[in-house]
Amino acid sequence: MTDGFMFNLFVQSFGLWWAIIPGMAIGLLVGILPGFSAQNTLIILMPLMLSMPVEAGTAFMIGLYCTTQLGGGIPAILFNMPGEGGAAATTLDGYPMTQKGQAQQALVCCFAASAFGGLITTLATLALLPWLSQLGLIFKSVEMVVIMVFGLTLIAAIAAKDLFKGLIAGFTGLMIGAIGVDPVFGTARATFGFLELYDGVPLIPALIGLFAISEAFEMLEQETIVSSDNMARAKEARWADTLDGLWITLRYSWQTIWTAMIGLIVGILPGAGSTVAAFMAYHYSKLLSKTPELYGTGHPPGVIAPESANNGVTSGTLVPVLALGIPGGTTGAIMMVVLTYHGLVLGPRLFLEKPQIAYGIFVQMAVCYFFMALMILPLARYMSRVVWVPTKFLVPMILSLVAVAAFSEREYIFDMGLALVFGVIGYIARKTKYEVTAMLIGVLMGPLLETYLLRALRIGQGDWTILFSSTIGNVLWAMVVLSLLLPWFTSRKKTGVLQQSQQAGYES
Amino acid sequence: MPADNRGSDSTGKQALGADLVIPLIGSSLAIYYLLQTAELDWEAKSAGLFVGTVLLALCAIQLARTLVAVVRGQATLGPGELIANTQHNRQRLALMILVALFIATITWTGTTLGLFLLLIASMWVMGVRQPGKLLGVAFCTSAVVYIMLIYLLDTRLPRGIVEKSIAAALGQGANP
Repeated sequence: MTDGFMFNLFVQSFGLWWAIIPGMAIGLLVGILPGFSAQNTLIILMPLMLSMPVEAGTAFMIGLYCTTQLGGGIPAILFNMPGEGGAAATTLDGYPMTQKGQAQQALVCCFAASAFGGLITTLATLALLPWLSQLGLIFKSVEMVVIMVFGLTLIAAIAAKDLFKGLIAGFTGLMIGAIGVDPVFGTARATFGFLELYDGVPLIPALIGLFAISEAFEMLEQETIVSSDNMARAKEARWADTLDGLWITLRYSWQTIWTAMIGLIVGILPGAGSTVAAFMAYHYSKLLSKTPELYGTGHPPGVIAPESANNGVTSGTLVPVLALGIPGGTTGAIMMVVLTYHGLVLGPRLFLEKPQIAYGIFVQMAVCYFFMALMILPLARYMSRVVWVPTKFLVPMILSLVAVAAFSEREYIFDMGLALVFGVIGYIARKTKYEVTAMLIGVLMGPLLETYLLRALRIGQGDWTILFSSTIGNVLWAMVVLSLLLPWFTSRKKTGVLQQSQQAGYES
Repeated sequence: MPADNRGSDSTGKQALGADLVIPLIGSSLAIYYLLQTAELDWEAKSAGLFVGTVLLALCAIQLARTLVAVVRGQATLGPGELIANTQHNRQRLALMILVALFIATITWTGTTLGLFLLLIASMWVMGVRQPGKLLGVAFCTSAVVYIMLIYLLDTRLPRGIVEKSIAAALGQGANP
């Protein structure tokens, strides 16, 4: 591609601001509301996209899709309730920052990391598209099993405070994830006679219950989200705090880049998605940090890592659709419908026959992230003021809105009840210090792991050694073992250093 | 000794009964799963069998840890603050019942009216007594939900008297 061609694409994409900005506004709203996914909204708005010229339709869709990932982080930070699955990991440090009166800085970290991470991965995708498109073909069932096991090790990482309770929460989540028809024979398992559970336990009601409803039940013990000691600090929020948040993100720019690349790679893999990417990024950010003990206490990198990763996923999701004509997920499938409606044939030929469309979509994404940084960043100061609202108003509003939101994914009233059940379980878990995040990872990963494992075993005709038959898979297995051993080595080393310094202190 | 304490009883001992609720839920589900899938092909139940077995073992260990603490006189099997008769627990219970009622009656009341009533009732439970604030917050929130989700996005949220009346007033028939 010539420089002039790319420059023209950028100019054309900026000219589509009238489609990108409304898409971003809807995406922000959809992201903030738990239960409303970009996919469902795109399906509802599909007639609108089909009626637009193809470039404008894709620009609107890209604007909505990318901003949804960012929007999900806002309630995660302000109320400890992720708007999207991809923002669940953001709660771990985002909400503690809010409780410390640093909501504005946390929001700025979230927005800046999302925009910067998304921009970096979009540009990387533009540069490396031919190679990245092969990634989805390299990762088969065996490699995906290891990726999922990787995901499950996060339970141990998240439950570091009380490993035993964390494991119970994680395995309870896995058990809940095993409900539904099995992926091989389609036999119902432990559905309690509910037809609504045949597809398994839906993620959105579980997410809403475990995070939003349980948090609302816990929140009512305080007058405001922020304690009275930190309220003065929260009310003093100035533009300088926005700059402070930006400075923090800048200090962790290298981390933003590599966690965004995790998002890009996970996004290319079919079925993994932004939740897996965000938790993996959080895990590795903590694992490689010099101060892992600060994670979970309101440490900015704990916000930056998952947010840059879940926005990195956005460009990764589109790689297999455009380069191979294979939709990796629902968003990819909707993109396919819009493009094929306009007579375009997806796959490698698209880049030769209609390069302005194929590359144009990624350029639109880069432009969208640019707009995002420009327009959403200043809103952090005003959004952070929501935490001033007394809980006697917040709790009823949260409970009523999330009950409605639980309906939105599958449009079953059953899901509203399911969210309440998960809310009660989540509340008990929080009160007795069982990690709800570990439980959610179990609910999410359980069905994915089972599907890939059974597929791999079918290919290997029941031979378990097939799980160690691939070079990439074996490298990934080694990384799994390493990621489990590294925290142990680090803690031993730290204990050793502490003992040495204590001894030195006594001797002197 | 279990690491966490969810409150203490009158003797000052840790009340660890509440710590067993999640293991109880997990192990009940595991037992139900194992019994229900006993007749299935191994491929259909292998994942659940593995997870369920490990979960049961973990729950058994947690129970043993708690019992050891009780036998040593360091803890009791009391539920602690989880079900204590406190104002917050009464509020929580009332809110749970209200949300359950909202879900159970939404097909009759419709989303907008149901939400309006739920908001007024739950704010009352939370201690809001000013009629202006009760009605104002409930009206604005349910109006936003109606406009966004029912009127604009046309989701399949249940329609009731409010939605049907607005649709009739706007001349849109049964489906606004």
